[in-house]
Amino acid sequence: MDLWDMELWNGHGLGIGAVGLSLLVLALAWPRYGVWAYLRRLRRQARRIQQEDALKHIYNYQSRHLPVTLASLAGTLRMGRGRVARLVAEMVDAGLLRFEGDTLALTSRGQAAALQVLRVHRLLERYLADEMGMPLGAIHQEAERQEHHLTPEQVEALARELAHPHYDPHGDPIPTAQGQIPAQEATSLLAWPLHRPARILHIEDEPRTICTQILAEGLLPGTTVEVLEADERGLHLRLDDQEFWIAPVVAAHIHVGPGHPGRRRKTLANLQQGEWGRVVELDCQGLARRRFMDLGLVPGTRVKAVMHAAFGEPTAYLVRGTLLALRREQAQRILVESLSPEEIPEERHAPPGPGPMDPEEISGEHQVHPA
Amino acid sequence: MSGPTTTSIRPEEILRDAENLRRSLGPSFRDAVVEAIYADAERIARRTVRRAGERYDGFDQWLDRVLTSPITGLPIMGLGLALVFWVTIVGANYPSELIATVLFWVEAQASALFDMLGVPGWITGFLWHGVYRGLAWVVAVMLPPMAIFFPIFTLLEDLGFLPRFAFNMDRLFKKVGAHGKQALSMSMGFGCNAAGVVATRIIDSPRERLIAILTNNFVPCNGRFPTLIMLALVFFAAEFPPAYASFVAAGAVVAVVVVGIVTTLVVSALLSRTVLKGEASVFTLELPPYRRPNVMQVLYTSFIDRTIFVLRRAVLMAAPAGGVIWLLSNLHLGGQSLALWIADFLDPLGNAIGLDGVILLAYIIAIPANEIVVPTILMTYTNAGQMIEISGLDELRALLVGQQGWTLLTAANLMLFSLLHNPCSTTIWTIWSETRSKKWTAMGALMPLGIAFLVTFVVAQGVRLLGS
Repeated sequence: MDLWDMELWNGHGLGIGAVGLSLLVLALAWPRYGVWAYLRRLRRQARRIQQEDALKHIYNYQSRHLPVTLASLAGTLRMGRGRVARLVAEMVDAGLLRFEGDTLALTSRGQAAALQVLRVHRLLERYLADEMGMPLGAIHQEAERQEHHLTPEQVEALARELAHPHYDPHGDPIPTAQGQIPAQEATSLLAWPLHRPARILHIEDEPRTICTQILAEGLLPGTTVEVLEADERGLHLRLDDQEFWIAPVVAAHIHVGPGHPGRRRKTLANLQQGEWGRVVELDCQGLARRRFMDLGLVPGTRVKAVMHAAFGEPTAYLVRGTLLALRREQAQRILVESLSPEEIPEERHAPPGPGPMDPEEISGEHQVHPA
Repeated sequence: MSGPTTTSIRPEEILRDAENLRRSLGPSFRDAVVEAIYADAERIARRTVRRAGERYDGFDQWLDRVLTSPITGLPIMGLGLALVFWVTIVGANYPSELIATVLFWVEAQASALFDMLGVPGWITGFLWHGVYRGLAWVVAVMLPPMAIFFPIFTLLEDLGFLPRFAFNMDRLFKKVGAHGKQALSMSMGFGCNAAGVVATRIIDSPRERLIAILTNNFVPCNGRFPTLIMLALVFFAAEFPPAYASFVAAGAVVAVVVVGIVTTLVVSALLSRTVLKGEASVFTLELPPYRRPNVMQVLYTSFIDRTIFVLRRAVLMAAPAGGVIWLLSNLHLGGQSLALWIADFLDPLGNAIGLDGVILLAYIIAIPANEIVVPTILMTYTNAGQMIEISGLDELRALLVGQQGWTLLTAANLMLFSLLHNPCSTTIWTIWSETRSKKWTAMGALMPLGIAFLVTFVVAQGVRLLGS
């Protein structure tokens, strides 16, 4: 069979043309997947992003009692004055905004919508940090990108999956689905008295350079610091065993509340090979915390460091009769205390009898005696 | 007068109350629940369970010391993996030949029967020399090594050795921002990349799991080993005296495997610093006690879960590919088969990366199953109407080097291309069903292809530049 043979195709030109044309029309106008439907979707998406960003900007300015004008909005959204005016007119028509003289204000509907955007943003930040393991310095930008693409059902599913968190990883409160946002009693670190332990409650996520600098010093929400001196150069801080200076402009982005005086941190990573310890606290959230608890690493559990892997890391620990390998970073999140000699479990040639158990073994080879 | 007054409570108020109550519980509430559950479980276990003295000490502890020590552990694990490959390759030889003989005998008989019944030649050709032959080829090459590799792998898993392997390798994977258990899905990839992709389910962080999925293809699977071994024997071993030949061939294959593992690590590092940016998430790995495996269960999981699963998908993909191959080599345009037309068209691209158009054509047709790459190349070179095999190494050398002008560069680049190119359609399909994302599936297919082109292009141009 030779397809080059023109005889084969003679007289079919019109048919082939008609089929080709109808295919083209279908590709353009197909209801959900056609080119036209696709372009329309893109436009709707772009409008949604602009509206949501506008709502957030106005909410932020309002809560800081700053006047919102068309100019400030145009600056934040990086749009021309004409397009911003059109956007605002649309939002006024939709009942989200109203003019008060020259400045813009949110209506109660606009307020609710803005809180919903904020809720999505902060839930996403929580998700990215806890479940995806993204560095704290990067989550704000990523959440900005993703927040416009979730449906309300997806947002509620996310909140459920995260067990309705109250705060985002920066320490900002997350509005509830009903649009409530708790007020926060936090003081700027600049105003905190010397030598009183201060627990970091909140770190502002913008501007990014300052936020990154704060996180790089190890100043995370939940940690406790002490201000040693303060002058025009900035603040002299102590965090665990380190002491360092931060500039006043940096300190202004940190908000604190009263904390407990820190004791010396000892973690699983500090255990020598063969040494026992008892878990005191888990210093982590989300996936990591759930994972540790699933494995039986709850406060009160006795743990022994058993061996290192061939390249020196990770380390295997004996937990409730099971060998468990943890990387150094994880081991450092598990605070332990030393055991007194009489608390160390009997190890060698233990006679048959009760001992630490893991649930799997109950159904295994071991005998089960009903009580 | 009305009855007792009823206060109406609106649903929003209840929800708001619930929300306030939840906030007042505080974050430590969850921990308290979990701790209480553990305390209860511990109390019940202490009262009811008697342990038969099986504690972590003695032999287990000694074995762990040996296997995780830098001096003894790493060589033992390296040799162990090499041994598994060797047993698989050598052990699969004979059954492969047997299955091929039987299945091709069926083909010959069936096509003879069709001819006798007067069925038109193109129907016989398409069905038996095309669809059936492709299917038979894939089954013959694929089934025996998988039926050997997967049970051994499952056995090592059940014995408790594989978790120690992941334990030892974790440091390397941590350095590249990936998960230690990727060492396991990677090893599984040596058997079959589709199975390797499924095996990434043991990684619970989505980011690190994606890295493992996207890089699994960089270790050669059982379907690609025959190509690598053939090339090693024909090109590398032939340059040395016969006494060393098999060692050189083995060395060449091992070198390719090492390149594959290094690529896995490098690409993982690139991914975790770019598109899949993030910190290493929580890594926890249980090291179960060493125990005697349940042989029936090993056979069941390795056969049903892995071998049959992979085989079924591969067969679904290979049958149509066989049909396409037959059509391409039997439909002619202006006196030349379609296959040759396409090969001529691809020739400049092939040349740029040190290969040729026929090889690229074979790789396009063989997307459903890498086993048929070499038969398709040979078919196109010899202008045969169906996939063929050439058994004698000297004959093969005469055809490839003598007639087609293959050089050491062609062989080396073909090995690299075979190692790095896009995964087979079974694996691509598995990536889709595991991630349910068009984006990541496309990435999993196209990124390796791009890397394969880049690497072979650089090697080819580099060698030509130095050689001229």
